[in-house]
Amino acid sequence: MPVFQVKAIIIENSQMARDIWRMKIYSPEITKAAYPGQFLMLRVRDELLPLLRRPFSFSTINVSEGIFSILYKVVGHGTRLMTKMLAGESVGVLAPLGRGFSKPPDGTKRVWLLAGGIGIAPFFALLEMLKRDSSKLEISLFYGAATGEELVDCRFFENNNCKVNLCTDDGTCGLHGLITDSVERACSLTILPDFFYSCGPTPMQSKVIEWAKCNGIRGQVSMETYMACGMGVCLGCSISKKFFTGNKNEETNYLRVCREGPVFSIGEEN
Amino acid sequence: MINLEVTLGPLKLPNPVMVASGTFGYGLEYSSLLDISKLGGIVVKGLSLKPRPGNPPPRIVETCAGLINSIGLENVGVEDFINKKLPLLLKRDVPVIVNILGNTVEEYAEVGNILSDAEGISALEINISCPNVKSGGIIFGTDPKQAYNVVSAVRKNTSLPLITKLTPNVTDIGMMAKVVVEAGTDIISAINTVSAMAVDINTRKPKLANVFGGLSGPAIKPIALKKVWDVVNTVDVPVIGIGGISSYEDALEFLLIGAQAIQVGTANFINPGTSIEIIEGIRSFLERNNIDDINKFIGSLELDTAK
Repeated sequence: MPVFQVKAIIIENSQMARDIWRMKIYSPEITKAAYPGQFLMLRVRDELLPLLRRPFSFSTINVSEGIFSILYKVVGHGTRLMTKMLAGESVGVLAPLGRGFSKPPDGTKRVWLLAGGIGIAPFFALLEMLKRDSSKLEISLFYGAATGEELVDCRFFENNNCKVNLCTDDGTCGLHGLITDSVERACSLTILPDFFYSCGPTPMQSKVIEWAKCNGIRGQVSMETYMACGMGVCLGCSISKKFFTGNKNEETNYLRVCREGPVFSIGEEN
Repeated sequence: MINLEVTLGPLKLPNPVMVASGTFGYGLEYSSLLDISKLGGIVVKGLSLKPRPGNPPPRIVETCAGLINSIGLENVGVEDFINKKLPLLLKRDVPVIVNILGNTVEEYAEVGNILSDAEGISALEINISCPNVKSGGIIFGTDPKQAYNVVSAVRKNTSLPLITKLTPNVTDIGMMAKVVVEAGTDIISAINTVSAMAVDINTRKPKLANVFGGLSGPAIKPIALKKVWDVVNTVDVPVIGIGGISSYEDALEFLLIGAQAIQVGTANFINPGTSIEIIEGIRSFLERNNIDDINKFIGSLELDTAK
């Protein structure tokens, strides 16, 4: 798998919701090589602050235009600086990196996408891939955020026949509660999915994995961690295999989120 | 034609720019992005007798112009390295230096012994300076007696050029340098990371699971420069400068004060091509200044007053 280290031109950088921004970047070679669930390391600027690149998942991948986008949440110095960047400026990109989402197993009819906060990012590209490969899939999105103002526009999902279930921690939009509450509620009302994809903060992923195991549902989770290199070298992003399997014997069996992940399978051997 | 070749006692390098242990994997991870055969040398991730899992996450945190890590010496173990990693790396025609570590003096000696029997390794670098593990690493680097024991034990087991990597987390690094030279090291490399920590005022928790770690990156460069200066002025063996080097100017600063080679560390994470750019930068600098040999620049710092 090729990895490119390039200076790429920003096509657009705009706000999508409170503290949520989207950056579109032009790079035909990276766009062509990338697939949903993979990530990139972005060099915010060629200076010492911030020092490290920042990891972002591919949000959309438009091969015909040679443009991909990232969706990012403003959380610190690096992402604050990113909001000041303008179309036409260039930005350092190292990509595509890691193992992305794979297709659901044959015979899958119902798929749920579980997105917590900025975890919605990779699902735009994933939905396109799923629809392209199998137009008959019945797909539902469960998407939550702290508050309604932090939810991004979901028309893309609705327009692609994906049922959208919103929830917020403060009840300002959709169901009042966490993603996992929303999922539990749906479980009691409808048929369980055959497969799921989940992306969000680590505590959410932990609950999702527990839910999936209790219900015997297979799926894939995309993890978020701090990273230094993104290429399997620094060993800084490691996560215990026990997180995915629950097996205490695997407590010190560490997996690199950047290399063995960021997408990990649940319900089968990683 | 400008000469970049340097000779560090028994170790000859095509140029003075190496990549530091722990920042370049086992040598091939970055090979799709740069021509690693151009490097002065590759110091691979520290190896122990048996594989080590490393510390629990979170293992890294970024600070002002720096990175604190507590990886905890995770590695595949010496056998796996020799069988699976080394043969592929040796095809690349670049000096391979192996960083070694252990929980006991005997383990260091054993790892050194095993690597001495493996063909193609250019030198060993003894890691007595990792701040992130309880046993091994830093204990051996801060206690002169222990440092002597480790280095002399490895020395007895190998005829390979021996580098000893020192920690800055001591009062007198010059004294530690003397001890490891007496124990038989051919070369000294300095510095390893600076002991450091970071905390979160909102969660009221440490930012690293290990509570503390080792700081690297541009933030530590001035500290490293002084420590290297102390070593250079205390012992006669060649010194390899390490610590926050991110540009050819940084590299030249270490060479100017008398280091005969340098290692690039954290900068590899940000731009894997840093070392190659540094080699080109040094070449252009020498060209611009009409210096035909890097060795004429090394140690040429001018002081107004006698030391």
